[in-house]
Amino acid sequence: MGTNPPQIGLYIIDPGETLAEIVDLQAVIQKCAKIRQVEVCEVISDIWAEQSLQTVQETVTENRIDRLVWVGTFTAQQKKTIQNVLLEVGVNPYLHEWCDLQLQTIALGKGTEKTLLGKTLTVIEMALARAKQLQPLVPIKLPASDSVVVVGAGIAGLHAAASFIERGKRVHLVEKQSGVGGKVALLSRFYPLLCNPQCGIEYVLKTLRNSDKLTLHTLSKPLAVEGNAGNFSVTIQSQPRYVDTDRCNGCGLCSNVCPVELPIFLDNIQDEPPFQEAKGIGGLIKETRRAIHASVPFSFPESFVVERASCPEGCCKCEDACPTKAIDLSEQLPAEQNITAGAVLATTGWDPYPLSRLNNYHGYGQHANVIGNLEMEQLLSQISKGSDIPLFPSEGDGNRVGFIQCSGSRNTKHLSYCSSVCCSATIKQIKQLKTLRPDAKCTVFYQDMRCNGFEEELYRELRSTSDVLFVRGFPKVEASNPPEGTKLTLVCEDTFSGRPITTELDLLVLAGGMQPSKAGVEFAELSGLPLNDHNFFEGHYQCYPEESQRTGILTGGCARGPMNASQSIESAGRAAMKALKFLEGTISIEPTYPVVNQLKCDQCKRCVEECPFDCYRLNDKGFPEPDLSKCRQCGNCMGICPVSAISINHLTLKQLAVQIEILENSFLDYEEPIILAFLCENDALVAARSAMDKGLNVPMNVIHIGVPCAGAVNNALIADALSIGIDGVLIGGCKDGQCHYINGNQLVNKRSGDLADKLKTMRVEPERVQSLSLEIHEAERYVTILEDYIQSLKAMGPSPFKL
Amino acid sequence: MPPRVDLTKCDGCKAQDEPLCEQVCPGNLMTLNENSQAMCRESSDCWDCMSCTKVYPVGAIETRVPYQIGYHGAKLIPMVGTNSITWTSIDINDKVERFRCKTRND
Amino acid sequence: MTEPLQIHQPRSGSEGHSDIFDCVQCGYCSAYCKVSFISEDSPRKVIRFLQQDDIDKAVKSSFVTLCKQCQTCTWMCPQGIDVAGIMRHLVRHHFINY
Repeated sequence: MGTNPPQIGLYIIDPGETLAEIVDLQAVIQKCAKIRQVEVCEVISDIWAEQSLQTVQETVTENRIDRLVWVGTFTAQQKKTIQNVLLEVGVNPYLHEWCDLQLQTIALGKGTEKTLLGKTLTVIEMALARAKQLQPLVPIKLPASDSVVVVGAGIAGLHAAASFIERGKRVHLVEKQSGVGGKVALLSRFYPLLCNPQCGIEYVLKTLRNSDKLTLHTLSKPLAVEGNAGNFSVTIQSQPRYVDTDRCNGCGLCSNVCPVELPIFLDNIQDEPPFQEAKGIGGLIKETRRAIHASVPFSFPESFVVERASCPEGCCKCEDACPTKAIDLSEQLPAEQNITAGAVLATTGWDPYPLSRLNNYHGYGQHANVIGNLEMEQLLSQISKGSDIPLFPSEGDGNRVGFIQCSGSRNTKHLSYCSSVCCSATIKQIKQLKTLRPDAKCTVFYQDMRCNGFEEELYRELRSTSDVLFVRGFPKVEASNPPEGTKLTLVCEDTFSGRPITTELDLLVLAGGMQPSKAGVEFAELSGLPLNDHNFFEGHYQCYPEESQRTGILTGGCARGPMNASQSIESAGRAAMKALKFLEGTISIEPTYPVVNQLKCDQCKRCVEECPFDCYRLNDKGFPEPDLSKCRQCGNCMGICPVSAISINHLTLKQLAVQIEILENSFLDYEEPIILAFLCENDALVAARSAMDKGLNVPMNVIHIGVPCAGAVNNALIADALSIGIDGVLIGGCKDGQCHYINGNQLVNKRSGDLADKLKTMRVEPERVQSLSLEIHEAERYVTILEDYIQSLKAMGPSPFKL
Repeated sequence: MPPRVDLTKCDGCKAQDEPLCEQVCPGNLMTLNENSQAMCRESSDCWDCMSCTKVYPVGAIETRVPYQIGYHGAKLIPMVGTNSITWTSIDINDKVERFRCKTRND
Repeated sequence: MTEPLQIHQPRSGSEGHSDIFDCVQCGYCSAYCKVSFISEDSPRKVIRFLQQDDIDKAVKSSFVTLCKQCQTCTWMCPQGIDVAGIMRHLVRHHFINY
């Protein structure tokens, strides 16, 4: 601001002279023109006429006014247009003050002429008082990195990486296994086209293979995530591959000479390996891999990798056999490196629920022919490749296959949620099994078949097939160490007919559930992200599902909950879309961020403690400083500060205080209570506005002030309001658990509890300060609450501070 | 008369090194006891400046009025706004008086 | 009937048992019950009767006299319902009333 006090232009917008019918606008103009610093005071009947805004523009260019107060009713679009028009003559968008008569119940036109005029004058005065305090603000830009770290190279991670590369961003893909692909690479077919996932992965790899923007870190895991959005510093640790990825041409000569044979894949997917050596699928799948083998689960990168732990002492046959001298078996230590990234994307995926925990139920790990659904996928892919595996091990080549759904899911003792993909997966497996072995007789034991969307059609198709039997009920499998050669017999009650069913099977597939991956839980721990009750990543599922509590870290795919491959890809795409804004090279931050007044701050650190996004740090002098790239501008720090030292720009405590001060002179009769309502802009204010739009009978007693979050209301403001004789203060926030800023409404409840105690000692009724939670559609409830509140305030009598 | 601390409310300013009341006390009388809650270490030295009472964020400190002004039971309670302090004085006969003083707090 | 049946059991956190209306009729209890296959009824059916408020039918059911209180049904129930506890109540009423 210059040395001159700001000059204000007051414009009352009255389209169609509807306002003039309610309020005596000439009286308003006369009164307002006398207020200091009001230079221009006009009624504009048609603001959208061409000359109207031009006149305003000219007034500005003549340097007569530099703050503008608009009185009337405006939509957000209209505000934007007016701001843009005046930006042409250099008026900062933050120098407009909007006095919304609709919101302040005046446009409804209910009440006597005198009160309407009084209230109009009051709210205009409030707007003028605030306008005098307005400051021009510009968004700030922070430098940022343009690379991104994607943790987990499953199908979600690969698709996200591909989206980033298409936008020209540098991607660091961190994968704990030796190759990409994750769980999808283990599948035999995937939805909805039932094609081979190897082909799907190959397709997305086409983008990645030819790009120099991709850095793939295999056998790696993140150790630490420091910093904030735009400038994360991610430490990753990589285990040695013992094969030079640049030199290796993937010829496979090394594998041929390797003396070690390892069973394929099982140890990769099961954290708790369920099988003893001789039993189960270990015997079913004949294919083995050597200690030096191509990357698993999908051979990208094309380089081989050595499992050094299983190498025999002193063996270096592969080293000798390698034609390109790519193998180096000398002892190597894990390497650590730091990556600077603008955003981090966690696509850490899922792990199969350990079915060995179900051995009480279904005999997994005890019967040779009881397998999990992921193993079934492997089995099917082996068979479709043409290997002559006896599908049904115990009886040579029987043909009866059973599937038990919800094995471990939807069970309070195991996974209490539905894993959402197993029903369709079983349908898919049966379909493929029928093409490979048309004579197979399948029985599905289910609780409910949950085939969502188009998958229902596949289910119906299968249901009409005569040799697939669907039984609603859970079978019993004799579990505790059956003697060798026992037939697999299932006893079950068909809950539709109520009759017991006894079935002999040759193979039993348990449709095990999805649990969050161990790597995901570890990542959450090291990056400080909250997990939900089921250990998936927490997020606001409707409003910003892919965003986490730490700005700049996004989550996608099955790390957020059970989903199938295509949903996972969609989720990763959305997360990548959200991440792009942190990768622009600069981050633009809205100027409405909090500012700490160091002259007032006494370093009590309450803001550091209470900030929902943990964005306050102490600077070298011990004063708190918000990290603007983390800050979501909720204003909870402004509300919590005991010495009123923190204000968010454009809604400073000073700006609010001067508005409240105007209310000292009541616009109503002495007996009529005046209520000041601070409403959260996300929910409560919208509910109030819609009450007005619906024409509900909102009492005249209330003055609305919008705040970004109920938690932004400082107790000093309430004290201000009470001490000038306002009868009641309402603080409206979201319902518990729905706050967009995590816990703003809880913070305000706690604070108003403290204030209530204080009021009690001051012999003031503590009910004069009320906090309410309001959902966005509860316009009618809001009016009821207001009416009840006015009644109770009337019963209490006028505020003891009222003059 | 010394400040009285409501021990059920005082959180020792989240146990930071120097709580607010300790910072503002002109006589350097306030300190933390072994439970990290505020206490006045030399009550006879307190001259009722009310600094700690005003600054207290959760309203846990109360100052009783000296007996020369009001007998035991009389209270003086501040409520701090952004640019004003509102005082409520309650004497032993439960007579309530209220004052509002502008401050230059902004 | 001499006294009202206490079948609706209070919910008490994750450890406690749930209400009969939590039963989704999955049939785990019936499959694992050692005696249900020699009876016409099964624990699932008995609970279904109770859900339909047909307490008489439940109490008269031949199954409740056969229940050996082995607790397998309670252990197996994915919804955490104390099926055996319900059977215990019913069997007492069965012998008092019939």
